[in-house]
Amino acid sequence: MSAHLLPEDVELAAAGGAKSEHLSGCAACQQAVASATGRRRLLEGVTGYTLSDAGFSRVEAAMLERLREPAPSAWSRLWPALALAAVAALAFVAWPKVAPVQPPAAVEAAYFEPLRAVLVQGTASVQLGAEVTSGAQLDTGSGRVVLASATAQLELRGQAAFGQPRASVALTRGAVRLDVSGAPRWVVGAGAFWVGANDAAFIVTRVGADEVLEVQRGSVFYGEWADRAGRQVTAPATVTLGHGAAAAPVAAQPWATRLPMAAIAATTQGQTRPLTLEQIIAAGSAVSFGDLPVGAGVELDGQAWGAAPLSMLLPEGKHHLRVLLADGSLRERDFELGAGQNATLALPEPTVHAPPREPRGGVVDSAVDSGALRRWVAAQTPKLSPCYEKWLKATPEARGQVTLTVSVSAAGRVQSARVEPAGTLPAAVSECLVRTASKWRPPARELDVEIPLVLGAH
Amino acid sequence: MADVVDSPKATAAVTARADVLERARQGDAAAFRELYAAHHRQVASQLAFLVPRSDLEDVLQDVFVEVFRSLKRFEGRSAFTTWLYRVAMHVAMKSRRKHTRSRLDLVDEVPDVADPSALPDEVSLSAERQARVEQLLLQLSDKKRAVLVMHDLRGMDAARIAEVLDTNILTVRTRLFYARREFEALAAADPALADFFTLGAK
Repeated sequence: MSAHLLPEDVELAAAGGAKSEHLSGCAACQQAVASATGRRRLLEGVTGYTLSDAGFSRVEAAMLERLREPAPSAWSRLWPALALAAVAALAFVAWPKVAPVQPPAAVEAAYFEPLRAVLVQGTASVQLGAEVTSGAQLDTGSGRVVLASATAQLELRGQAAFGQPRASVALTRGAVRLDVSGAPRWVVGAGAFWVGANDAAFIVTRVGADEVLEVQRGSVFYGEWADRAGRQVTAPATVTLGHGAAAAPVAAQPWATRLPMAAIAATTQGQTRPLTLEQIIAAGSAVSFGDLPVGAGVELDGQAWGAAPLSMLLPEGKHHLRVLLADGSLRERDFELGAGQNATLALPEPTVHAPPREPRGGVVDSAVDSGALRRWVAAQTPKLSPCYEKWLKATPEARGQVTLTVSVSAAGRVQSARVEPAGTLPAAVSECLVRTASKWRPPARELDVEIPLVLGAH
Repeated sequence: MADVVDSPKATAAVTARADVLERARQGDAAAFRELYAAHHRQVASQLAFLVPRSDLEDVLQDVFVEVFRSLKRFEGRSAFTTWLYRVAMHVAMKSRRKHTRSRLDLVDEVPDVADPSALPDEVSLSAERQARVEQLLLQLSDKKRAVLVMHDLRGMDAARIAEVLDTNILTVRTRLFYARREFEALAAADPALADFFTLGAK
């Protein structure tokens, strides 16, 4: 029998259940219950998270692309000659299919509407805000480009070319997603097939010699280039081109009908109003998030847009940016764009909020300007880095957490500084921190400034 | 075999029809998309806290690619969702990325005038505090974190966790004990979270 409470008893007590007599006389057990209570309170306030609809759609598209990739084979390593022969055979078989796609002469009302790049992510040859006209060659690499006109949205992943004379998008690999409404008709050329629609949302995916058409809204016609009339397929449906009729209908996808671009709203004079795609393009204020750390999650006006580097067109007005860094910390800020303004946003400053503080002598200097203090601390703390950079380079596995407490006198001078808990950092590092802080001139008096420093290894 | 929903928080039972499973097992992409459509949200929510937010999209993709490739080995001895969850856990643990930043970062917090009326009990977690909790969870080992998240955040019982992790209940309870203790120590040492432990002390 243990001399202390069992884990189940600790949890029961922490949950407010029956407390044993042993608890009242056992300091260690009381500490365990207090700790468990704190943990339960903390975790009760934690909320789950998931991906945005756009994120789920990206996962599905990328997943399907990966599934179409041939699995790695040991034969290719063991038998290079055999692999070469297989490649040669494949090339021979596939050669007719990768011949340049001709525009569908049979499709009338084919039309190319100039497009504006409204979102550029990752590597892409097209520039944000550029107008894309017929004949353009786009290479989106591993990135993502959303092109839009007032009536249509087109998302490109992978390489794409706009064919001549006016009509088609010729997809060489990756996927093209279109969400179009009203005339004219849009046509996607995929291998030996064309797919056209004037009021529908659909995705054509092409990897190697495979083409899959997924119709998410409206009706789409598709056929071989020689087939003038084509076949009609109505959403929801998935068709492997060249393999007969539509497959069994799939459940409607919530993200099917539109890209999240339409979710942008502008806030003016305290009122939020949704914007149409036309308004967004007309405003055309370009924002680049290229100065953010690569891979940082970007959320704008409550909508997740993916990872930096990222550039997009935004309507004029106020916006709110949230950046999720790799270490799990959040940075956020508001910014305002004027019409036609181009801006590059840097990483927002760390957010500050009310921490616990013990005012010395129970008196708080009413002259303390908390905002000024925040700014002052943010400006001073980089000066500490020389104290630990050398040490960290020598011991990259080092980790820990200390608090640098700076006591400010009534005269506004640093009276003392200390690093706690003692012994966490090498003496030379601690002494350097104290020495550096002692030279500061805080914009406040008669208080203790506590600066937590955390080793960022995860 | 009837499927069961893993999370007690799920509001609707999601079932994978046997014919869809069979078609997906034979490599039918359309059937697999049906499986994805039926389960992607559930799997994504199960991955929360097990992988960093920034990795969630990649890991979810890896999970379903692994499911597709391993579906032939699914023999129906457990519910499909149990098997799916097991694959998700395996992929999450395998794919966890190691961050090896070697720099001393400032905590995003400086002294200020505290609001005396705001007690931790009454204040919901701020976004930053939530981020800190997620960060602390990621400091636990994969096995401890998995058990703590499933038990204390998802409300799964030890028997169900043992089934998903393919281990025994005793192991689950042991890991849970040490995971809680380690998490409490980490949280109590975090200045932004110390309130919870100070106030909790009797």
